[in-house]
Amino acid sequence: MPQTLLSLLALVLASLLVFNQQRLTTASQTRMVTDEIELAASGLASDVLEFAEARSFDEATTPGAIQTLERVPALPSQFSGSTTFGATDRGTAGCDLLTPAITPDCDDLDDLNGLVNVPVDIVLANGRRFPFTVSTAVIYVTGTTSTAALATPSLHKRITVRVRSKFVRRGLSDVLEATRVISYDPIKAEKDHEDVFGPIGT
Amino acid sequence: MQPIFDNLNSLIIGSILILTISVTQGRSQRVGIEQIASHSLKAKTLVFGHWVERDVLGLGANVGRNTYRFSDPVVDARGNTSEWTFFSDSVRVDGSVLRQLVRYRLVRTQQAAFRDTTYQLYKVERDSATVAVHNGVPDAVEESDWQRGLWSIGTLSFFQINLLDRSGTTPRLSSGAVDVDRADYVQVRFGVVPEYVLKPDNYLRELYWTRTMKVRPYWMPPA
Repeated sequence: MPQTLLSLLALVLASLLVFNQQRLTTASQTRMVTDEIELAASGLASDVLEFAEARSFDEATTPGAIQTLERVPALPSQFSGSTTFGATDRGTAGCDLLTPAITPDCDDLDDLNGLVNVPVDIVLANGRRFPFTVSTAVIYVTGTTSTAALATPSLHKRITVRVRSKFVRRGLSDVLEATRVISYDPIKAEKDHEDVFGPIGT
Repeated sequence: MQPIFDNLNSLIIGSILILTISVTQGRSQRVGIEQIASHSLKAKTLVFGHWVERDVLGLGANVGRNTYRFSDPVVDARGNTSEWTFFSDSVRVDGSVLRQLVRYRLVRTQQAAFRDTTYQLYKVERDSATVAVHNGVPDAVEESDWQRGLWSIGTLSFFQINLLDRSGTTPRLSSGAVDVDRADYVQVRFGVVPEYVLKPDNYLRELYWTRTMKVRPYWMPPA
């Protein structure tokens, strides 16, 4: 009888040991995979931010608008109000976050406001794809370090990009959130116009 | 025989315990190795990415405005960039100019089988050359001018350099060649797999690195 009891006790202890080991292994694997996904997500977020900045700063500073106006806008009062951010003028095709040429109506920075869980895949070796979803928000801010939204137009817009992966389970939190203040650059606006229409006034 | 039958229960349970603990120990070792492989893979990826980023952001120094400072990347059948050359200029104390060129060459290393797919792995050879510039025209670069650098890792699963304009597409001439004069961004993408792959049930761990860098802040507005 004591022998059987001791054996049972040994079994229970071994089970606990194995269970704990298994739990640690799973947690470790999850952490490693999450790290790898986060690295990919950071690259994706960086690319999305770069092509957000590549767009015109405002609908009033697109090459077409400058061609109509025949000069480069200089004052914030000429820019769109914050209430018109988002779907107002980005067309029905939405916004392609990595190749703006695919969605030409989504041509300025604030058109990206309010995009929710847009599917974006990254392409790996041998054509394998890894899916993410991206949400974006754009607000006016007072300066390059401001985070509070400004109701009136200014020379700075803050874009926030949230990248999620269905392979990372964190409840409602995101795999990665990146934000950048993009300031109005009249020289860039003029160059973008010149690339399309040639020098202003010609 | 009698003692064995007397302690049969204990023997069975003992055997199960030893088996269980040895399996657990084996798995624990695998996890340890995987953690080390994963950590070194991430470190290698970030370091290589940093090297490439530094190269790209440094290209074109002293070259002047409104002129290209990189070649059209050569693309192989798998879509990888097999060769890409870029340059910057260095002005010496006596006023003479040297052109410093850097060339990336994608070299096949080995093949690795992961589950049902075989992956070709690569390394990037980074060569550099320096030639004199006379009245704005650089001397021709001979193959013997290239010096092999050592900035490389050997387990890239793919490597791509894309020259893009602000709409995310590659600007092309009517001939179909890349219009390097109109490329605003250099996008670098690569994947890295670990050197040590645990078999048979390990999944492919492929780290993905991408960066799109603006390389054309040198446009001059018309006077």
